[in-house]
Amino acid sequence: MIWTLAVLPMALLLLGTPIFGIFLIGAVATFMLFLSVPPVALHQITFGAMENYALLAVPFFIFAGELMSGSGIARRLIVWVLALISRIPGSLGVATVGACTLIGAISGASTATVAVVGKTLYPGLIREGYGVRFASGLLSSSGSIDIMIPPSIAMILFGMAAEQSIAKLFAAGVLPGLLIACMMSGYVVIMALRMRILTRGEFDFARLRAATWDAGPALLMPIFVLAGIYLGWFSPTEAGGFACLYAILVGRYVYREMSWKGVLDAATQAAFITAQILIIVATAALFSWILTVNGVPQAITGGLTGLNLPPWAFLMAVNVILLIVGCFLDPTSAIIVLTPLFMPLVKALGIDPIHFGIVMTANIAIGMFTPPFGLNIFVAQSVLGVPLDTIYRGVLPFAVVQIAALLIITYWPGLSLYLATAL
Amino acid sequence: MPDDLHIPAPPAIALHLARIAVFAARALLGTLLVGMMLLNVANAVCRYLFGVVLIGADELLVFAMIWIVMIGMILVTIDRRHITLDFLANRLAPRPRIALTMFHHLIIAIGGTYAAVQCLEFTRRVATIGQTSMAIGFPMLFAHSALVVGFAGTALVAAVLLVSGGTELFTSDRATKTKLP
Repeated sequence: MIWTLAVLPMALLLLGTPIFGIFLIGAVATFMLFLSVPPVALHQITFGAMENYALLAVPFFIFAGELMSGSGIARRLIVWVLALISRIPGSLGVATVGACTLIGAISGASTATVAVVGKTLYPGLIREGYGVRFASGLLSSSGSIDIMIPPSIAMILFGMAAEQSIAKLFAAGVLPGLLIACMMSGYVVIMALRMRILTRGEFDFARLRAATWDAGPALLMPIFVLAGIYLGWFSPTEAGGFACLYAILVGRYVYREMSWKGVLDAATQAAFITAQILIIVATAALFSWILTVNGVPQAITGGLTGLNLPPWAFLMAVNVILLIVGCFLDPTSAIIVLTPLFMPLVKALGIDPIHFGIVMTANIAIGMFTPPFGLNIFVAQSVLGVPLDTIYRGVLPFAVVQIAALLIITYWPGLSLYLATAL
Repeated sequence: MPDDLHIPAPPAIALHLARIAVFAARALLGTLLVGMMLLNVANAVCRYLFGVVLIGADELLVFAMIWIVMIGMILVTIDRRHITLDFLANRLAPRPRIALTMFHHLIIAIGGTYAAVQCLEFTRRVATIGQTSMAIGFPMLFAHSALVVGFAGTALVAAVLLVSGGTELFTSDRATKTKLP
C-alpha cells in the first residue's frame, strides 16, 4: 500500500500532476488494489468533506478579495499606508508589508494579495532602487502575511480538520501576524538604510488626513468584519457574506468604481478559485481518510510517543517537517492531510490545539514563498515578469526573518492565546 | 503513420456550442455565488433584526457550494488551470511538455471516471430510497448528483484534452519531419 499512498503520489507530484488528481488517483488505486471497504465510500467521504458549513467562508472571503481589487478599496488602502509611514526610511518597502497586512484583514487568499499589491507597488519599488531581486522577494514573502491575518482560509481549513473554533483561531492569528509584519518591516528598514534608500519626504499630516478620509470606508471594512465576529453579530461564514456586500456597496456607491458587470466578473473569478481550492480539500480529505482507516496516524503517534519527545522537541520536529513539506505541497493539501496525523499527539502532549493551529499556519505561510514550489513565487513571476531564479534568491532573506518569527510564535504560546482567550 | 493521414477538425457549430456552454456555465457560477452571498446575509439579518430564521438556508448554501466546486472543476480542467507544481513542465521542450500534459490528463481521466462510476452508484441508491435533507426536505438526489456531473464532466474533458494533445503531438512531429532536408 505504500506504493499507492506514498510512492505514486510523490512521483506524480514531481511530474507536475494537478494536486487534486494526485490525491484522487492515489485514493482510486488504493480502493482498487488494497481496500476491502465498498468503493462507494469514495462518494460519501468526498461529499462529506464538502458538506461543511464552515467551508462556506472560503468562497465568500475569496469573493471579498476579488471585489477589493476591482472596487478601488485595495488601491486606497495602499495609498493610506504610504501616507502614514512616509517618514520611515524605506517607506515604500514597509508600505508593501503594511498593505499586505491590511489587505490580508479582508481577503482570504495570499496569492490575490501578491497580485494586487505587486501590480501597484512593484514599479515604485524598482524606481526607488530596491532592485528586482529584493523587490520581488519582498512582494512574494509579504503576501504570505495574509495567511496569518484573519480571515484566513488556512485557519478555516485547520479549524475544520482539527474540529477547533474558527473564531478563536482568527483571534489567535492577529498578534503572530502582526509580529511577522513588524519583523519583516524591521528587516526592510535595515536593508533600505544599507541600500541608501531614505524617506519619501517629510510626514505630511494634511496628506494623511486626505488619504484617511478617502480610505475611510475601506479601513472600516476589516474592523466591521472582525468586530462583527467577536461581538457575536455573525459567524465567520456570515462575516464573509457581509464583507462581500460591504465591498460591493462601497465600490458601487461610495467610490463609484465598480459596475454590476464588475461584480459578476469578480464573482465568476471567485467561483473559479473556489473550485480550484475546494476540489483539493475534497480529494485530500478522501486521501486523509484512507490514511486514517489504515492506521497511519496511529502508527505515527505511536512511533513519536515511543521517542518520549517533550512538547518543545515535538513542536521543533513539526516545524522542520512542515517547512520541508511546505516547499513541495500547497497549503490546502498540507493542512487537510497532515492535521489529522498530528492532532492525536498534540492532545497527548497537552499542547493547546489553537496554539498548534497558529504554529501550523505560520509554517504554511512560509511554505507559500519558499522555493521551489511556493505558490506566491509563481504568482509574482506571472504578475511581475521576473525570472524564477531571481525570485528564488530574493525570498531567501525573508524566509530567514519569518523562520525567526516562527520560532517566537512556537515557543511563546501566550502570543497566540492571549487574544483567543480574552475575546 | 501514413503521410496523408488527415485528422478532422471538430465541426465549427460544435465548437461554437461548446463555447456558449462554457460561457453560460461561468455566468451561472458567478450568479450562483452572488445569490449565495445575498442568502447568507439575509439569513443573518433576519435572525438578528427580525428574530426570523430562514429554515434551510444553510443547507441550500452548502449544496450550492458543492455544485460550484463540481462545475468549477470541469471549467478549471478546460482552462488547464488546476493548482499544480509545474516546475518540471516549465523546463521541458514543447514536445515532451505536450507528452507530460497528456499523461496528466490521462491520470485525471482515469481517476475521474472511477470516481464518477462510484458516485453514480451511491446517487442511484439515494434516489431509490428517496432521501431528503433534514431542514427543508430538499431531494438529496440533486445534491449528490453534483459529484457525478463534476467527476464525469472532468473525466470527459480530460479525455478530450488527451486526444487533442495526441493530435498536437502527432502534427508537431509531422511538421518537424517535413522540415528535415
